[in-house]
Amino acid sequence: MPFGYHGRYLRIDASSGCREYVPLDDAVLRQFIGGSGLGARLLLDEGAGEMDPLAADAPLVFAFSPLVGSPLTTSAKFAVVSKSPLSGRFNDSLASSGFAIAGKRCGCDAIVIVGRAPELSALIIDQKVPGDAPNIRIEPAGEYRGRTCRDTESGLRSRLGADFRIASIGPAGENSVRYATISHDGRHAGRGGSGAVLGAKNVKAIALRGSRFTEWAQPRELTELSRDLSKRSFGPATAKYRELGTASNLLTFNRFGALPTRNFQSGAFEEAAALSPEQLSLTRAKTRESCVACTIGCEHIYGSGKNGVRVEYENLFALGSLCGVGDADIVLRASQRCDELGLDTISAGGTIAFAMECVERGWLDEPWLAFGSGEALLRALDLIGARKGIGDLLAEGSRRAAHAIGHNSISIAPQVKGLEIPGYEPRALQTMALGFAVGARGADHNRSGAYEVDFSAKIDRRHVTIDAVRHAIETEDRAALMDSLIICKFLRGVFEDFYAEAAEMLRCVTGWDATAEEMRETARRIVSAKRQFNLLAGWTPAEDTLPERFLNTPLPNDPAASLSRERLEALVAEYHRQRAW
Amino acid sequence: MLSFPWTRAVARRLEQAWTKRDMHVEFFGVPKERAGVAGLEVQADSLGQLLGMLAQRIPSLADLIAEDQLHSAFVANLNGDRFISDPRTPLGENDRILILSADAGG
Repeated sequence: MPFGYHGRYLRIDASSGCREYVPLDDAVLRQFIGGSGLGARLLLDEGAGEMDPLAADAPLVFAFSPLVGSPLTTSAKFAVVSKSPLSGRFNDSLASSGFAIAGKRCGCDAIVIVGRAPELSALIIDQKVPGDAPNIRIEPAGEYRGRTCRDTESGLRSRLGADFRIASIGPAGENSVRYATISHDGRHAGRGGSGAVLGAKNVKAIALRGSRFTEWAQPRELTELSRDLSKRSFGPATAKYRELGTASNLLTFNRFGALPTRNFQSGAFEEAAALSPEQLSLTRAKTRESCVACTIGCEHIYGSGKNGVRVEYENLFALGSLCGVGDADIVLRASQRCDELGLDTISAGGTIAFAMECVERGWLDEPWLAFGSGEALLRALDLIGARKGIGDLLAEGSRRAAHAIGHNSISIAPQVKGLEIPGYEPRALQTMALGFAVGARGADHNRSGAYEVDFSAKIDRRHVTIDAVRHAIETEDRAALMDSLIICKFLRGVFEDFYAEAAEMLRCVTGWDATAEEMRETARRIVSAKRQFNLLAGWTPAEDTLPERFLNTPLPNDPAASLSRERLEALVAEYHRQRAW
Repeated sequence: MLSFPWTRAVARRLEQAWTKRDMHVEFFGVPKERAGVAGLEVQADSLGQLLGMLAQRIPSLADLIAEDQLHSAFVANLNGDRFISDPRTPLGENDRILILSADAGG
C-alpha cells in the first residue's frame, strides 16, 4: 500500500447497519488518486449509472485523498460523489475543512453509503482509539427533523462531543429538493443535489471522529514543499480571494456585460453597485475566515455573530442580479436562508429566476413571483425548502419545472443537463459556453475553468474559434486533477507548472515516482471516467448544448455577443474529436 | 452681457485647447483597492508606457506591475473588447483600459 492511503474504503448499508472494509488496489489509487477521481471509480464499480439516485440502493460516496491531513495548504477537502437527482448524470461536489481530516482519520480513503435507514438517523463513525476497531452506529435523529444545518451540527456536537466533525443536511435534503446540499461547518458540497441523496437514505447527519494517521513517504521534503507553497499562496495570485473574495467579480462581470441578469435576459444589472463588496462593507462588519489548513482565507463574512453571512459571487449573482434583486439586505438574507435550508444557491436562484420570467410571460399563474421582489425571493426559498405550493415544482429544478409548465419554456430554462448555469453569461464568454455545454455534471464553473481563457489575450471571448477547444480541455483536465488530489482551485495561479508540481506533491506523500505526464494522463482518465458514468446513465450527444435562448439571439446589452447554434455545434464536435470520444 | 457672432466659436476652441485628450483607466477588484480610485485619466502611447506611468504615479500598484508588464495574476483589456498583454500595444485617445484580476472565477 502506498504512503498517504489506508488502502481501503468503508461501505455502510444504512438499511441494516452492516458495514465492511473493502480493499483498494494500489493501481486503482494511482489511476484515480482520490476525491472526484476515486469517487467516479467507486460509483462505476457500484453500478450507480443505471440506478435511480434517490433509490435506497444508490451509493453516495465521501472520498478523501492522499493529501488530506498533510501540511500542504488547502488540502483539507472531501468530495461527495453520486448520481445527481437533478441532472441524472455524474455529480461530484466538494467541501472543505475538519470533516475531511476526521474522515480520513477514521481509517479509510472513502466512505460509501447505500441503503435507507428505517427512520431519520445520524451515522456515527468513532475511531477514538487508534488501534481499536471503530465504533460505527446509526442512531435515531428524529429530534433534528426540520432543523437547519448549523443547528443540527451544533446539536450533535453537544450530544457526541466537541471533537466530532459533522456533515448534515437541512430541511431541503430531508424533503428531497433536487438541489439540496450537504453542509459542514457552514460550507457546502453544493451542486447537483447530494443532500437529497443523503436525505433519501434517511440520514440527517454523519458524525466522524478519528485517530488513525497515515504516513508520508518523504516527510522532510513534503514539509519543505508545503512551506514553499504556503509562502507562494500569500502572493498576488491569490490577492483577489484574500483581499476581497469572489464577490469582487460582480462589478467586473457587469462591466463586461457578462453578469447574468433577470434569468439571462441581459448581461448588465443596473443595481450591481449596491451588491458590490465595497458597498456591502460600508454599513456592515466584515471578517475573514478560512478552512482548516488553508493559508488563503477567501471567506468574507458580512455582519456579525449569528447574522454573519459568507458572501460569494455566485450567491450575489444567483439571488441578486439573476432575480433582479438589488437590495443587499435581501440578497444576504436569501443567501443565509439557503445555508440554513441546505440549498444550492445557484440552482435555487436559477430556478426562481426562471419561474419569475414564466410569470412575466403569463405561463405561470403566481403573480407575486416578480423580478425585483425581495419578498418574493425569500418566500420562494421557504416554499422550495418545504416543498409547499409552487415550491414543490421549483424544488425539481428549472428543467423539470419547464417540462411541467410547457409553452416551450425549456428554451429559457437556464440549465445544461438539468444543472443551473452559474454566473457567466455564455454569449459574452464563449469558451465558457463550450465548457458549460460539454461538462459531465452540466453547466458548471468549478469543473471547467474556461472563463479564464475568455478573460485573456488568447482568444476573442465573443467570437471564439476552434482554437478555444484545446484551452477548454486544458482547464477541464486541470480541474479534474485538482478535485482528485484534492487542493483548492484558488491556488491555481501560484503554480508555474501545475502538473509537475502535482507529481511532486504525490511523490512526497505516496512515494510514487509520478511525473507531469502521468498527471496529465490521470486527469484525462478521470474526465473519461465521468463520461463513462454518463454513458451508462443514458447520455446522448444532444445533451452537450446550451438552451435555445443563448443560440442565435445576441445579448441585448451587447449585440456583438452572439453565439450561433452552428458555431457551438462545431466547437462541441471538435471537443469530442479531441477527446477521442 | 455683450455677445459677438464669434464668441461661441472662441469658447469652443478654448475648451478644446484646455481639455486633455486622455485615455481613461478603469480599475476593478484588487487593482481598484490598491489604486484607491475606480479610474483616472492618463496620457500614454502604448500599454507598456501606461503601466510604467501607473506604477510611478500610484506606488501601491507597484507589486502588480513589473516594469512595463502586469503581473500574470492581472490582465488589461482595451475598451471592453480585447485583452492585451504586449507592452507595445498602441493606445489612442479616448481608449478605455480596464485593469482587473486574471482570475475571474468564483
